[in-house]
Amino acid sequence: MVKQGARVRYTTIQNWSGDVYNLVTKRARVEKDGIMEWLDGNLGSKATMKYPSCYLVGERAYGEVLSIAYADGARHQDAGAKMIHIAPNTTSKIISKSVSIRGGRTSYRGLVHILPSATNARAKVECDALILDSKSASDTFPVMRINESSAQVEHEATVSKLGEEKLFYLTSRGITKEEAAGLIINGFIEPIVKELPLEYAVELNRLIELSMEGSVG
Amino acid sequence: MLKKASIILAPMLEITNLSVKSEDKLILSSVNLKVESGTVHALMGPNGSGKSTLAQTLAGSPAFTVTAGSIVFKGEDLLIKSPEQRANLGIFLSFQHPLEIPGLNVASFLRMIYNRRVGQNTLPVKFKPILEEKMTLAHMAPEFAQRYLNDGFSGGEKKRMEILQMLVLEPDLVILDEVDSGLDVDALKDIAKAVMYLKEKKPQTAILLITHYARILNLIKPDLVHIMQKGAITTSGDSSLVHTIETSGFNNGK
Ligand SMILES: Nc1ncnc2c1ncn2[C@@H]1O[C@H](COP(=O)(O)OP(=O)(O)O)[C@@H](O)[C@H]1O
Ligand SMILES: [Mg+2]
Repeated sequence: MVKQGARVRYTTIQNWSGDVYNLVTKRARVEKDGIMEWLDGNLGSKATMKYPSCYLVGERAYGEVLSIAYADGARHQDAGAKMIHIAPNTTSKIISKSVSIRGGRTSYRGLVHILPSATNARAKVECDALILDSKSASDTFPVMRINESSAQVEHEATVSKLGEEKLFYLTSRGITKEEAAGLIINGFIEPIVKELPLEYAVELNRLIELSMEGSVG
Repeated sequence: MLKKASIILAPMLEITNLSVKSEDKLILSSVNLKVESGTVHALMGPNGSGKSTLAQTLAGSPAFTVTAGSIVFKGEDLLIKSPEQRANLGIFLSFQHPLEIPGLNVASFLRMIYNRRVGQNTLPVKFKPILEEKMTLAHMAPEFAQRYLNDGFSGGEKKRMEILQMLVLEPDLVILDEVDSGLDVDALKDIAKAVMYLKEKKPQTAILLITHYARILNLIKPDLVHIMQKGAITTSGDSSLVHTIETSGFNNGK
């Protein structure tokens, strides 16, 4: 619950062991001029299903979800966000970055719902997926329910593969293929990592470097 | 004594009867080239003749397969070495089309490759002045240290970033693949100056300069000039060859 004019940032980085099912509900109700920011990183677990949501009930309330999903091996990271625009002039932003490696699967599942009462609402969704090998996969299920004609909604999605050319470029400077892949992945999630407190950012980069060891052919 | 003399006389790089294909298309056939340490070689030739393929093959690109021949660098068989091993032996390729790596901080990347090259861990505070000096030599504004590698750089800025990496690594063999294309006169002079700086600092550095234009060869004077056509080196000669090509084109270069 974010009261009038307040700002809340909730940061979670989770690295569960491979036998955990991680099903979480995170909901925030944001009042007038309030700001709610969910920062969410999901690395381990067998399957994660997690969609932090913001109910923008007060005028000019703002909701944001920045999420990183990293699916390594027999894992499924199903993550996303829900933004429910109820009041006028509410805005929201969802940025989701996902990495799948060694048969990992990531899904983005998002909902942007703009109710008739939410005049002049603005919503922005960006989801970028990086796929490291041919065994891994990623898909997106964005849902937009727009019941108000003054709404401005932007949606962008990109899927990229870890390119041989980029790996070659970096290795030709004298670093190993694993190190090069780690640099590319950490670079990919950098826009979100730079929002994290330093200890979290360092830990996340280290986890990814560890997972890179012996992973690239 | 004799043994020592023979080591000095062996070329730094020796390419013998090299044939290269990509997927199933033969691109280079029976290329021969010897590069002695301390020399400058220019490699010229029409678009599509195979110059970049040769450069990429020397650096170990996985896009190409060597079907015949050998490459020996400083007495070692290059063909069994990975790209990073080649780099650590002292080979550097300035890419014709450098790649963009979003999110990768220039300063930390350069420190990483510098540490690998010198074989020790230089702390960021110690590396900072080293990097500043090299950036001045490459005529790059200090802000570039905090950008992401080549991300959103202009064509000319990417070429300067290649030259900066060359200055950081101080390689023994520098391969410059069209480092001059798309540059204005001033940028070209800056790059030539940086290359000459390295050559003066380390006179044994060899340079293989791939270009279409004589103008860079007036700034970095070649000892030998080679013409590549349809995947083979068809003519080699001294720098006077450059002017023959300028006036009569590649086909009359013979
Ligand atoms: N990765 C590749 N896959 C297939 N063909 C290639 C590849 N790279 C280059 N080629 C082909 O090889 C030939 C030589 O190209 P390149 O070495 O780039 O020439 P240059 O640098 O002299 O312009 C051209 O016909 C080009 O189309
Ligand atoms: Mg070329």
